[in-house]
Amino acid sequence: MNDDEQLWIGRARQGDDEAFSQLVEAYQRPVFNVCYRMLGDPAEAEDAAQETFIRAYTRIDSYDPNRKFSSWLLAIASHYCIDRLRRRRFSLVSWDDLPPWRWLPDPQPQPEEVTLRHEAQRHLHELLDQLPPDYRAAVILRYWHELSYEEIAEALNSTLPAIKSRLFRARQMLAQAAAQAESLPALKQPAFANGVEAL
Amino acid sequence: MKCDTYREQMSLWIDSQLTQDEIRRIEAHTATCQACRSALDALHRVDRLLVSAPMMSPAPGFSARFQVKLVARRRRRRTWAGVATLMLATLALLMGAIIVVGISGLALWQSLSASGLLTQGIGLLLDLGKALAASLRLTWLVIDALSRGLRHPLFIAYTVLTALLVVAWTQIVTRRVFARRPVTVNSHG
Ligand SMILES: [Zn+2]
Repeated sequence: MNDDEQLWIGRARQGDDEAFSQLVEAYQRPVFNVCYRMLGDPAEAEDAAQETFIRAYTRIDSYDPNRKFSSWLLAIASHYCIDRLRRRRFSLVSWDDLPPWRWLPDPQPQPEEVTLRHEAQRHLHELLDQLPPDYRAAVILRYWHELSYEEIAEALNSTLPAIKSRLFRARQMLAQAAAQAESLPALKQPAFANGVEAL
Repeated sequence: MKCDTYREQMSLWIDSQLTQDEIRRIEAHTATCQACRSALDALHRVDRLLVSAPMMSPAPGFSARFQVKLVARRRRRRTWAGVATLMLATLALLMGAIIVVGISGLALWQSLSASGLLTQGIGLLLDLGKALAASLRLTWLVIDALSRGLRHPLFIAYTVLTALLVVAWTQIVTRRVFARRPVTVNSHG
């Protein structure tokens, strides 16, 4: 953590909105990435990232300066997304039951590279989607944000052995899901494509 | 060691949590165990996939959108605080009113029952009721007598005539009033 950051945090704790917006500027990317990887949808991720910063703003007094500010923020984002995924599971209409419009490429022609990247992200999200929310959070914090086992345990209110086994199980599940997706390529296609072919 | 234990250690190996000794032991095992070797391959594939996935950024203008949201949230909170204060004040006022009414009611009751006014009052009220019933009966008697008297044919004829005249006059007057008004229908198209 650099000195500027220390200064912003100190001033934000005293109610300086300008300083807090510097922190938003600095951490929008990791916070958004956690939300995007957790939820798999850019619009939902934007909403969750905004909510994360609102919560950080209202709870800034509870931040322990001995802790990494980024870990503290990512912990808030992870908890919020885990709750959101659990609520989604219990909601009347599951997000996953909706038609696959979310994954349709934009109507404008796109460069092949963008489409390929989009496809790759979709595939990755389908794999992550197989994991229970708290497993997914551990994987995301480990891979994209390079948190240590201890930091992940602290962020997710868990223990070191629990995080170890969570990452192990998550990797096994992902390997299994990847193998399954490779052996059943038809399942990877959106449902509407099959419908069009049938016509 | 069993295969399951080796596989758990593979995950730690990927996260660089193993000693050289432990790594050598896994390598020795996978050299002889086909199942664990393919499990390790699968773990490495997943690892490569995750490592190569990019960090995603929000759309430009994220912190500006945050400022807007924060202001809106604050305003909403202030509105709610105002509404809550208002509701609390109303509730307090209502409670106060109930207490005041209760206390004064009790005092009234006590003074009434202590002075014997209450029994006297009830007696008077009963008398008033009786008087009311008597006056109602009297009214009925008058109406009855009148209707009997008015059933005479001459009186009925006179009444009908008066009614007819009233209707006729009303018609004449209203027609005059309407005739004087200018015709405005369709004047504006
Ligand atoms: Zn084995």
